[in-house]
Order: sequence, then C-alpha cells, then structure tokens
Amino acid sequence: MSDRPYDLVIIGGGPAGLTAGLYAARARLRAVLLEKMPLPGGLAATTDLIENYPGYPQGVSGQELSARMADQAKRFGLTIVSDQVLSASLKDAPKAITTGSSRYLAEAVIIASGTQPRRLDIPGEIRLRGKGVSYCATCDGPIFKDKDVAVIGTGDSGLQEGFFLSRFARSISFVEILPHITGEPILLERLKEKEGVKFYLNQEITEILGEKRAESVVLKNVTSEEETSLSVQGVFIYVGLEPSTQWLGREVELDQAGYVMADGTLQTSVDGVFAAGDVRNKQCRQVATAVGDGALAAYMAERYLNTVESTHDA
Amino acid sequence: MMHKSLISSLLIVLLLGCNSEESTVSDPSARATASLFTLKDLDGREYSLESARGKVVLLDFWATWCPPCKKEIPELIAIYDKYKEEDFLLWGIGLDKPASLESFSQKYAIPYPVLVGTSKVQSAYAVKAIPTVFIIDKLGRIGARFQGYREGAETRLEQEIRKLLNE
Repeated sequence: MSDRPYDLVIIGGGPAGLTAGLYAARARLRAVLLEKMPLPGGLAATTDLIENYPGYPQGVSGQELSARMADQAKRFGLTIVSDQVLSASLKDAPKAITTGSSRYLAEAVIIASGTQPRRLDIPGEIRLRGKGVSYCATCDGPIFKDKDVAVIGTGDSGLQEGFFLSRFARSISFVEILPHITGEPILLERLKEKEGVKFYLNQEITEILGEKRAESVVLKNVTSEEETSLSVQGVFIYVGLEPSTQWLGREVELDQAGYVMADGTLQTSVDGVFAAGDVRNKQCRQVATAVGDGALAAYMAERYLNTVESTHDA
Repeated sequence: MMHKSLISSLLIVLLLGCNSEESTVSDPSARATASLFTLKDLDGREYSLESARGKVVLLDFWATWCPPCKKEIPELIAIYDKYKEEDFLLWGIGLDKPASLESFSQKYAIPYPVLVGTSKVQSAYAVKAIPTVFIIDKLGRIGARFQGYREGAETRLEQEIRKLLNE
C-alpha cells in the first residue's frame, strides 16, 4: 500500500462527485476521485434517459451525461481512479481512506458515494442475480428481447425502466405492493401506448423461481393473501434505494436510514468532511440537485483547506 | 397527491380495463360464453368443452413451476372426489411441458383429467397469472373466475359449484 498526500479525496463518481471534482480541479486542489465502478456516473449512468436535467431539451442518456461530466472534470486535471473504498478514518488529520489496493491521505474528504438499489431479500433473488434477476434495465434490457419480464415497483424508476424494457420484452408485468401506482403520471401515460403491459397492484413478490435462470415469480395479494405465479424470464427490481455508507462505519453521523447528516454548507459531523449528492440526508435526489451539492461541497472544502493552511502557517 | 392518485387510477383503468382477481356472475343472462376448445390429455384423448354442455365444468389453469398451484391441487382433488358423481367435470389445463405434467400428475395422484394447455386457449381465457380457475355453467357460460390461491380456496369454489349445479 502507498501513502499519497492529497488536498481532497472525493469518494464516488456520480454527478455529485464529478461536479465536486470539476470544481476542485479548477481550484487547483490536489484532488483524487475514487469510483468503485470501471466507469464513472454512478446510478445516473444506469438511467436510460434523463429528461429533467436542464440544457438537454430532448433528454440525454445517463451514460452520455456521465461521460461528459467525467471528460469535463478530467480536462481540468482531475484524477479519477477506479477503486473501491473499504473503510475510512476521518476524525484525525490527515484523513485516511483505505481501498482495495491503496491508502489515500487527505486534508479534506467529500463523501459522494451515492445510493444503491435496495434488495428484496426474498428466496431466489441472490441465487438468480445476473441470471434473469437485475437491478438495471438499461444494462440488461436487450437480453430480454421477446421475453416476458416483471418489474417490481412502480415508482418513477420502475416505470421509466419498464418503459425502456418495452422496446425489447414481449410482456411486462409491473408488481406493486401498494394499491396504487406511485410513479409520475406522465410516465404512466407513455406506458398506455405499449402492448403487453399489465399491473399487479396490492401484490408482494415472495419468491423468484428457476433452476439455472429465473423462470417465474410468486406474488401474494397483501389483502386477501391469495398467491399467484407469473411465468417470466426476467425480474427487474426497483423497490427503492439505500445509501452506500456501509464502509463509513461510525466515522460521521448518519441518520436512521444510513444517510450522511450534513448542514447547509454540506459539512458533516466531522470537520473537513463534506457530503454531497444522494448519499446525503435530504429530500430531493436528482442529478440536478446532486450537481449543486457537488459544487457547494468542493467550494466549502476549498475554504476549509484555506483555514487549515492558515492554521499551519501560523 | 390525491389528484395524482386519481390520474393514476384513471390511467390504470384505461390501460387494463377491469383487473379483478375474483369475479362471480349470479345473473345467468349476464354471463359471458366460455371460449370453446379441444385439448388432449396426457394419453392423447381429446376433451372438448362443447361436449361438456349440460355439466358444470371447473377449469384449472396451472403449471408445475407454480407453488400456489401446487398448494391448490389437493383442494381440487377433494372437490373432484366430492362432486364427481354429479353433473360436474374438473379439468386441469397444464401450461407446461407434457413430460413435466405427466410426472407431476403421477406424484400427486391427480384423479381428474390433466389437459395439455396451449397458448391459444390461455389467451382465449385471458390467463395472465396462475392458478386461475373458471367455473362454467351447464349452458357453457362463465359463472365464476378466481385468480390466485389462498388457504381454504375449496370453500368459495364449492359455493359456486353448488350454485351452478342447482340452476
């Protein structure tokens, strides 16, 4: 392991991390961005079409937007490293970030590690992951050409990704535990033009079955407790998100759900540690808000570093 | 929020029409005619719905990969044993490979005919999820449709069977 001194380590390469990286690079901070995936973009990169990010009237694919953000940050000198953060020691100076292959030391840290899809924790989910069970329609959708698939969850993500799947799949069964669809009406309107779309409301998925690949799912009506089976070859799960903060331990204060607590300046409970994007305890998790967080976190980190420098100089 | 729910509900109706899991039609004149079909059992014998006119017919759409279907089968066997001497037929329509249906039928000692289902019949009866049971009256009309299984299913099935047998 090597010890490398940095002004700033940014953890996470989604829109918040990349924006923080752009601002940090332009401020000429010695910054490094650590992203666990081979390509940056985070969850946004797995979104087929982002239509509510300003400046793209026709929408833009999450992959393209992420690649553009990364290119822009790199143009100003940001170093992006593909490495998974395993743990952190943030309370003492310098702060230390341990990854699978290195240990990074820095005066300031921006936590932008985002969120990850929540699992259902039902039989068959883990065993058949990658064998019909997926959390990313944009990544895996084309494999299901002319197949029957189930989309679990009818929030915005479920409807949007289901719409993407409708380009390929023969039929899409949306399964929702609530008695109503929770996503935006505009997304639902688009689905009405598609054939083979069916909704199973008030239904809980209890099991995914299949020997080598997913073959069917079992649904249970949460009111009547009636059980039914659907024959599907693909199961796409969109039942919410959870923060990617397991690696943090108790280094900073988290809320009950595990999101990082931060004040209006994005300062966490530890000096010099800032939180930006979806990982932060906040109301609206969008690319647009993540970008704003990233800019502010980098600005505040720079101010913090100036303070630390002044203290050292004195 | 309420506005959003209302729009969603209206759109669902537009998308799906009525998606009831359980429907019974008490008024005989309001019942829809059941689609006619001819299917073969596991020994190759033909079963035609048209030839069942004059009897109450229970059709059970099921498959071997369907856990709730497996739970329901013992209750269907009990119903079959109870009503087989009356004007009543029970046919299982398996949406599966014949070999799988064969071994399953033997294992569970299913005494009633197990027919090899086709996508055409499945589509004609708009079966999207299984088990789905139809109870057809003596004039070939759909008296009841039940989608899904819950413990004690035989009670509601019997209730409909008795009602149709008495018509």
